[in-house]
Amino acid sequence: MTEEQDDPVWRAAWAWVRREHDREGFDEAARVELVTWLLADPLHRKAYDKAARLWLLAGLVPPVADVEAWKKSQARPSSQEDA
Amino acid sequence: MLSFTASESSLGDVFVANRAQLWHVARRIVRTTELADDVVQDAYLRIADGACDRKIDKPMGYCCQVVRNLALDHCRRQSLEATYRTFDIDVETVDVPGPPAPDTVMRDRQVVGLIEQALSQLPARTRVAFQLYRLDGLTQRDIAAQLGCALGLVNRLIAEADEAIGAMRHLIKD
Repeated sequence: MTEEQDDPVWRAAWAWVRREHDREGFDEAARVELVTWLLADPLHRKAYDKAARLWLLAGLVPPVADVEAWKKSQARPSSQEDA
Repeated sequence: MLSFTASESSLGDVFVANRAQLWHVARRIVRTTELADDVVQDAYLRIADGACDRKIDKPMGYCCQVVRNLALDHCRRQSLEATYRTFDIDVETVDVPGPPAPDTVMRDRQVVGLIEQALSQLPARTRVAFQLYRLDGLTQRDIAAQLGCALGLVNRLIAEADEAIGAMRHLIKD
């Protein structure tokens, strides 16, 4: 594990971005909590913007998997549990 | 570099041909028609001119995905700025509105390619779950129902993809 991944500010920023994506329960109270955290330290905002950008770009990756074909292959009785 | 053959329409062509429909995809997410215009323009710049080296199976699906995710990101920033204002703080605009600079588009495209590479190393099941979650916008609960597996497993698969993406953090410049 790299030093970067251990960075607690990054971890927190990434967790916020992920919570926002999940939206369920991400209401105004959560947003106020987020902004409070962002205002606590300029580094928080920096990490958050970075995390949000990374998450956005992950959303621009073209789809690879053929989900329907994959589901069919899983439905076959001979298919093996791989994990 | 374009890998499309002349007989196939490029992603950019598909985008242009379906621009009106894509605008509606954006408009359903963002608050104003002006913002929808911005999102569509941003998406077009990212898609036109060889957004992806390989051929995309469902070009219109990909165009919708880009528009939707850019629109959602706009909304995220707007909600955040609105909350900043309730704190009585002048929001410094982080991202300048309007079309992204060409070097930003280029850089982003490289990062998208590298994230794609990282995701391709993951097991198929993880990639499928992540695709439904991030690209199609399904909730983890919906994914569990679709794949016929436990929510806990979906949580784990998404966490695995998350880990792989988070590890690409160094690609994002300050």
